Amino acid sequence: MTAPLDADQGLPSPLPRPGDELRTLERVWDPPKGWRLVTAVNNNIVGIFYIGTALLFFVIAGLLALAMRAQLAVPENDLLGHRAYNQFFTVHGTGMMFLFAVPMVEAIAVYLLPAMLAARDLPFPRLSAFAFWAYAFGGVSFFCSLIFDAAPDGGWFMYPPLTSFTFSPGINADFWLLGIGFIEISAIAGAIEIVVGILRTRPPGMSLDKLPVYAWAMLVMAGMIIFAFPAVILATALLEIERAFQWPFFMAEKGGDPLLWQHLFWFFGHPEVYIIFLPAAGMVSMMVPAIAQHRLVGHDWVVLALVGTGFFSFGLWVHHMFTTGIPQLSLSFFSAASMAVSVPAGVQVFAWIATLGKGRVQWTVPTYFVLGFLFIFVLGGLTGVMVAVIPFDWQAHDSYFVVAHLHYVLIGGMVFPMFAGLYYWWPTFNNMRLSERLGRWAFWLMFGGFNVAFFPMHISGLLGMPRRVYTYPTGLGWDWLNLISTVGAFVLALGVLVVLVDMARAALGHGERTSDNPWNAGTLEWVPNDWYATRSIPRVNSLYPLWDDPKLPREVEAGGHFLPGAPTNRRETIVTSPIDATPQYLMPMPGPHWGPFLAGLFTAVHFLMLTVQLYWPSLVPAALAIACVYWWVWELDKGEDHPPQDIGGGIRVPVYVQGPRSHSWWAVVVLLLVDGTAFACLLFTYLFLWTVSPDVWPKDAAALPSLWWLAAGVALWGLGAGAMAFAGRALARDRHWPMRLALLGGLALLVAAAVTDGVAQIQTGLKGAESAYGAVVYMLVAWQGFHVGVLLVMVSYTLARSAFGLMGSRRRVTFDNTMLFWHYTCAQGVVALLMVHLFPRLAA
Amino acid sequence: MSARSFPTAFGGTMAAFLVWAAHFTVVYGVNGLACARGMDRWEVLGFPFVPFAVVAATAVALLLTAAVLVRALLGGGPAPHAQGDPRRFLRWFTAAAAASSLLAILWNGLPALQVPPCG
Repeated sequence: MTAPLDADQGLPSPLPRPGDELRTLERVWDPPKGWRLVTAVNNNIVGIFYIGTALLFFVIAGLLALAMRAQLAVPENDLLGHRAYNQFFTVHGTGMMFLFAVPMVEAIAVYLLPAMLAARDLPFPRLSAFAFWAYAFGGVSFFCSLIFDAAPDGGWFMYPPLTSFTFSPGINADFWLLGIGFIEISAIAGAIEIVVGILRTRPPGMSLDKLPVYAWAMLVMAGMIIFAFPAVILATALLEIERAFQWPFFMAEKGGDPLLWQHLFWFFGHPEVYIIFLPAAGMVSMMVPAIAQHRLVGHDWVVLALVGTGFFSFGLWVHHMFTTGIPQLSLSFFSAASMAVSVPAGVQVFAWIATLGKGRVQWTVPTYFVLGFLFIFVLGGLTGVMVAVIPFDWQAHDSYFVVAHLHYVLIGGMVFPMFAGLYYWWPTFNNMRLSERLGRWAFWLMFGGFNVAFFPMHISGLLGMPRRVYTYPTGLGWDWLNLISTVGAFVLALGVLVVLVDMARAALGHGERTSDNPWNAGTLEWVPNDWYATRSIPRVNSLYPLWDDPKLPREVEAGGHFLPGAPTNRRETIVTSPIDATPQYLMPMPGPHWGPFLAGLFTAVHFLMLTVQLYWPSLVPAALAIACVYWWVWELDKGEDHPPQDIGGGIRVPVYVQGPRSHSWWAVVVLLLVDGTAFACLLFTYLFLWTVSPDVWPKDAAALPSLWWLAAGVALWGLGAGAMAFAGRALARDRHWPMRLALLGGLALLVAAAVTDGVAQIQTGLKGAESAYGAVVYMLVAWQGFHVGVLLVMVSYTLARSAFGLMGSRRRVTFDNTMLFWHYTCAQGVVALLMVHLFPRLAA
Repeated sequence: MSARSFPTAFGGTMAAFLVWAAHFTVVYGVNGLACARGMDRWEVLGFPFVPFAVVAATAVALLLTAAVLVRALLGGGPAPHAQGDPRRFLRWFTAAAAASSLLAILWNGLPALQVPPCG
């Protein structure tokens, strides 16, 4: 029996707590029941939905792999025709990368991060819910395309010209381009949530040096999403526009270049590998100390390795293009970077081995999966260094050797840690452990099956077997190797099936009931919690608070730390400063709502209608989706509706802040980083096409709009920015009508600026479909027009709130969000104008 | 530390990696453009243009990164840094990142001395 906690222990909140405090906390965080569960926004529920859906997509994509392996088991097999096989490998690769791996690592973060940070939830719960529903509806639609023989069939990287309208005229490619582009928006929403969550909702005292490694990994991963995903979103937009309007971005005969797609795709695609791997590495860095009962050796070096990998991974994309004829020295830069990135990966591997070596290892299922990960991932890393060597890559390129390498890296680097994590963190779900016996069976089946399936592919690749062939003739020495691979694949699948059975057993209550901290781990996710997360938010003094202060869980559970209740009678969490984690304010958090579910549904319907070329009708679900977003955000910007609250430790914090300290400001800034990266990729597109096809660029200034158009455009964007600045000052003085008029007038200026930019080009006779130059110039104009369109929506919302009296000098977060996007749009407009008007003159 | 100073602290901590990224962009861009436009035949001060440009860019990047390293080692940036102060960790991180970037920049620049630009 544990002794009761003393009332006077210097805790932030005195004990015992008032009796009604816990009841209030439970009431405000009570989740919706029955069919209303789809309105839930709490990370515990959305996270489980997210993980479950990602697992479902993993199983579906895995079944496609089994079908492919069955087809390849014997030579000249006719189980699947080439058409079905092409669709299967495309949907398998796409599903695994876009619909399983990235969503899964984000899903795990949605579920785990608030617990590790002792936050009551992530900072934008409704955005999380929307991201999930958009992903779920979009993913289901994507897989359903197989049923209608409309699935994409151009490979997971969809290279043009194979995927151009000439060679892929149906809607198959559109399913990929629109579906994946749309689902990436969901990934970006998740990244914004993760960045703001990690930097602003940590518990008091958890300064950056005490941030768990998993949180570091997720921070790096989210940063990589911010800078990598815009490239593929832009690429999909360009290819879709080429298919729809014949703007020749990738058509060599009109000055385009298929390699542009490869650059944009792989600028996303290689960091993508680390976007998947780093979160898994972060999970391993959390599990290994608990497994070994020893602090992570070289913690600071592991953090450095995570951040270094994040940067260096952006210097690797051309190693997917070694055979495309790129100059030799350029290839060498990427070869060098590809070898360099193995150093930080090695640092982490040695840190894990050293931790296991210095501690006393508990031989449980997570341990097996972690060791399996180490074995497989190191092998995959070694073959990665091999293909980083250019002459070797020329031999192995597009062969089964590469198939073996990428599966060793991805399954070893992400799937094994995921299963380790599943067994390790399952008790946080329902206080039960998954079965040790079934878990060990699953591990050995998966580990053995995996190596039997994929190791022979190294040999079949070196014997010359190319990727993506639906069958092969006998007598090439590939027959037995393929049969062995197929047997291994089915054994691997059996291992996965055992895990699913184990999960089902435990979910139905047949698991082994366990204590709150069954692994005796040292981090905060093992503090007892409920829908509201932990009863109070702990004061953190070390990297392993549960090891350094064994009383902490009981103190937290008794309400002895920060924010032990719900003082404003609603959901809320503490926002802290990004480096020191000093409490700054109390953030109100929204509760269940239909908006995210319906907005996700209508967004998916909108994109689906675009895919089947119902362009005008698709505006209806688009408008409904925007209306649902309006509906859910309407109640969020509450203003200072309560006085500053006591959160414990003698600290009183406001319940509302605005300006750069606001979490909302941070989210918009992160969004603008995404936007700016996409624009930078568009500028790269312009410069790349000019580099490869200078002959389609104007030869002299006579073919360009006069500089007066440039001057007019710059003046309009500048005046627009000035109008917003005036509106901001008017709001600061609570002069509402001048503010509204300035917004309306400024918006008119921005519309005029966008129209001016377009007319300037049209009056020269330039056409988008005639050359790559025309295409990229009009793309820049259209890009700017899209931003003005977004501003139309944002300003109308801002004005509506003003009209309802929901905005003022002390309640201006909504206005500030619009202002940030507005100023960014104006700055981008000027840069785009300078590019299209001045660059051709200088180049000519 | 207020939220306002976070971008400064963050930028300073990541400065060496940002220099690495800028160097990588410059050397790749210069070589790509030179090969596309026949500039690889140019000479600067008697040296072939591309290796000269890459070596120059590498030297500048190394100098900048070394400056970040020295500043972090000598105690530039936010102070004081008592045990347990996150600034101590950030300063260590800045120095370690700079040392890593120094090696990475050198490693990335070396091929210019050995490999023909456009081969």
